[in-house]
Amino acid sequence: MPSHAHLRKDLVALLPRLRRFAISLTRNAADADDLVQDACMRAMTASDGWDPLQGLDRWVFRILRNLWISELRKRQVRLGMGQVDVTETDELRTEMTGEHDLAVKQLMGRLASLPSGYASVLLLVAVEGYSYKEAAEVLDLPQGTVMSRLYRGRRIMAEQLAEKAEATR
Amino acid sequence: MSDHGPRLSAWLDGELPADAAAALAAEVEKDPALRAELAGLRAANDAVAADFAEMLAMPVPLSLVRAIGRDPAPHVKPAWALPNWAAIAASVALLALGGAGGFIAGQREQITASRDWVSDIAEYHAVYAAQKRHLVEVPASEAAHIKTWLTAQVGTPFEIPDLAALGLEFQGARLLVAAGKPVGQLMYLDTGGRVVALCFVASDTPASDEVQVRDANGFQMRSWGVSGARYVLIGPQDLLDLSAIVKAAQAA
Repeated sequence: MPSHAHLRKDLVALLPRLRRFAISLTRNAADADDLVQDACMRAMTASDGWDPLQGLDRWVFRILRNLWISELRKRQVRLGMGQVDVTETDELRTEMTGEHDLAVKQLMGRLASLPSGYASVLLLVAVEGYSYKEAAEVLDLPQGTVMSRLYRGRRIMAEQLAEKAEATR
Repeated sequence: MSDHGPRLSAWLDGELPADAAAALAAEVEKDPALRAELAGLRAANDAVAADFAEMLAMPVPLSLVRAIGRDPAPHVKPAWALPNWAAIAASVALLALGGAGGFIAGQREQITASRDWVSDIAEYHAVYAAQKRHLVEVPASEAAHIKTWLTAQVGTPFEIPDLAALGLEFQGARLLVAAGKPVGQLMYLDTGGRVVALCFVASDTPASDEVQVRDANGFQMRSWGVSGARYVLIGPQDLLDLSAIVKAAQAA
């Protein structure tokens, strides 16, 4: 088990990737920063629960995702929408204003056009190199959902690229 | 889009069993529409990777770095925490110079423990020195743009020192905010892949060739001033020749 100071140093080194994963979940920089901070604090207080054979990134990604789902559930309850099924929770949006959408576009670029819940799957598999099984474990989703979101996410991006190519002809 | 879409996507990820992958490869070989669909998914994948790479280059807020990285113990090593031999040498030098300046053994280097933009640089460095593929915002290949961009943002002209003779290869640059001011950060890698950064901020402090030494957040640092700017060089503790790099940077 690494020392507390060592773990803190490793978490600092991971910050850009943790923040990127948090943005893929929250689609909001302020929420992402709060989430990363909470997850790192949780990781430091619960470091006994980390198996070093499992990558630190994977462990903290999972903490991040669980904290975000918990936060979304609280927000839904506060909004009077009651409890929501876990597989649907991360597709809920708490803000849908035009201003919010613009901010998401500035933050996420083309990825903003993906439905909520797709970007994190694409990030883990297509960028971080996780297997479907690993991504499913981090996101607490069935592997079939991981596979279908990857395909549908890529298809949306492919259609977007094709439209752009058509428009520039 | 065909019914093959999900399988093509899984094939891209290496998630199809070998026999299914071989069967799909044979179908793709024969069918131009499938090849086009696969090419579309590949292009989408490349676009996703590019957008996520840009996200990784976004500056991490210093408040977040501090919240995670700050130990309960003070970060900046005070002069009294120096090894005994160094403390003795510093005391002797102080006595010899009547306490003025705090120079150590004629090196014209001064120990300081104040917390300012230099401390912020040390905290940022803990994040960026650990990045392998996304070390910089603007790569070295865009050196002319780096000069225009950072001169305008930081508000002071600067040169990009060629430190190749000292084994340091320029990688590119970042723009940071430290102590509320924009800071330019020029990143170099040594032959061992360790990161050395030359950072600068606009300043009206009078120019001085006095090089200050500090040790913060597990890094060694040197700082000095020129007309209109302050500079900080930061690198790993085991990089012995930081003074030679300072001289080369000052001469640029």
